[in-house]
Amino acid sequence: MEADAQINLRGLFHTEKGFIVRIYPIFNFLSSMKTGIFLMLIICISSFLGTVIVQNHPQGYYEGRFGRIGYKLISLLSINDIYHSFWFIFLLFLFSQNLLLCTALRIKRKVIPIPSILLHLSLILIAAGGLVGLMFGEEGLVKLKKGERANIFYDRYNKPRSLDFNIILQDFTRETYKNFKSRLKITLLEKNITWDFVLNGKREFKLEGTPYKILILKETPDFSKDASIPIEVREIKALKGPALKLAIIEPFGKRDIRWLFSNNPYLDINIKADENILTYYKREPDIRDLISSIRIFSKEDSTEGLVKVNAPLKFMGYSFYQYDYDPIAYQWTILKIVKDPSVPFIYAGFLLFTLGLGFHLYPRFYSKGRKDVYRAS
Amino acid sequence: MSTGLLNGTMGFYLASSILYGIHWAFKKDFIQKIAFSILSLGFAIETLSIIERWREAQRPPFSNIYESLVFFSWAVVFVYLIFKAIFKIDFLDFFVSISALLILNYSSFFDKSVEPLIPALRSNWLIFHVVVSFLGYAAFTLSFITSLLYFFKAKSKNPKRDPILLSLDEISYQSVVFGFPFLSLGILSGAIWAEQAWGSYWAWDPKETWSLITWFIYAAYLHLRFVMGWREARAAFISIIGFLSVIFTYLGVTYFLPGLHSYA
Repeated sequence: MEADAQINLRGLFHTEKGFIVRIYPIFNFLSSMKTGIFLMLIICISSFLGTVIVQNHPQGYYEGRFGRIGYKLISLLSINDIYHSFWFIFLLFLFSQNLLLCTALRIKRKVIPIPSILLHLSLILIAAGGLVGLMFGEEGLVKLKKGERANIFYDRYNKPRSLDFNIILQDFTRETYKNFKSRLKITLLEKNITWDFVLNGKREFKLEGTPYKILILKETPDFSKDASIPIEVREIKALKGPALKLAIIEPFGKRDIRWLFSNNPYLDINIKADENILTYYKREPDIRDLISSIRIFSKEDSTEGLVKVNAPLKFMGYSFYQYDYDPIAYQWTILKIVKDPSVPFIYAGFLLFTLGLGFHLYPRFYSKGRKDVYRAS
Repeated sequence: MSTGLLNGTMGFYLASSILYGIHWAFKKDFIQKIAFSILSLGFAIETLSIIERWREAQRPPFSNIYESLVFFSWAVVFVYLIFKAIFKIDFLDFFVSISALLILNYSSFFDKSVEPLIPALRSNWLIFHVVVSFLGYAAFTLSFITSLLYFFKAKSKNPKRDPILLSLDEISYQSVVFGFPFLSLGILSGAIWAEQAWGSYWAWDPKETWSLITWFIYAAYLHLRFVMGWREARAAFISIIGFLSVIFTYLGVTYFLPGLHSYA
């Protein structure tokens, strides 16, 4: 098959001598399906590595887990940011070149059906779109308090980037469902791990991987109206509203009993406090949607509208997405700002891919396969 | 009510599996017919339970691990019924019945409470994305079952041109041919949805990355088969690797690799 490819490659470029002949080995390597499978394998292994080694964490995290030498190695090979590393992008580039050459050779040899050509070209288009996005796209975050204005955002390396327009957060609201839920977060400061629980009537929670256990003793809808609490404590304004009494069972059976307050989620009243444990309690309705009402204006143009989850706002080639929010007082929002010229390429690639895949595989399923199975049986 | 219907479904799948076992032992055709009727009845009740859950929750029942496992077991039987209708096969009935039962049984360990949709899941893409993804997963489950059977049968038979082994190989291949476009559509629809929700069609989130790894494995399976003629044992081996990747994409990522898809 390799020799066959070489002959066709000669035919493809109509030359016997010179530069093209000298780089035949590279062409042969890149146009081989075996190379394609090998590249897929390497991309799979690299991608796997990127999911098991946490990406884009601070230096201290990697040094803590892998030691100084381990961190240096990780940093040198960009394993802490694999998907944006030069070598990973180069692998994707090689793979797209392999697809391109494989397809071109087979078109020349007239051994490839049109759906398969569509399929391979669509992948090249998607890869090219990805490259365009990487080179010319902009992406970052902007944090805005109600009434605040900004004309810069911070990119993924936390560097400020200026915008040709201003954004003002006019309002930030949330839509909620009718049902309420009690959420409890426990942070073990010495290990820097947080456990997030939804109470749902459950009385006992384990902090997995530690000897700690949480017992829910009582949840009251309004602390100030709970007759079991001394009146002088109940009258403290900051303690009004839903409250939770819990016991943190520590190693050797030591108990840390705390009252937590939904209106001041990080506040606690406790006896024998363990300063190693931070608690957060909030009773609130489930969130249905998050809505930032913004106004954007430049010298030439202006617009205003709502940014919701799953419903971005578009202005001057930029899209604004609801990214994060103030979970306690709902006073600020974080918007993601994206300018991605690759989206039309990507969508065109998706469309071609779907058509190619449908026309390429389903005839095999319905006709050939059916006959073969009958024959085999 | 949906939970009651699901308990009924489990009962039917269990009864069907037992009857298929008896059919294996005694080779009576009527037992097989009864077993298949019970399997079909179980499937119908499971369909009803999914519709009922949808009505109760007033949203598509695909928003947590419990609901997705129920849908997965439904999809396995659904895809098999399509295969059975097209290829007129019956030797997988028992395995499909027991697989659906095991998946449903596994789902019973998870929180069944009906929760409203979180903002990120409130999208028209939810139904399409989940349905096509699970149809793909279900087809790969069939491919996995037939590939395992291939290795069991290949031990006791001469693998050269044995009709049963060829048939197993062909069904395994057809399952991948059926499932691959669905997996691809699942990834593409997820990318379009992610672009609308998070402003990036590909963020290298663990779920995305693992679905790409799975896609590469099955793409390699198809290419090696089409171009280099890899069939039978070698193809079955890749199919098994592919399914392990499917399971890790679906369950492993949820438990071990937190990311944007941490809800399911």
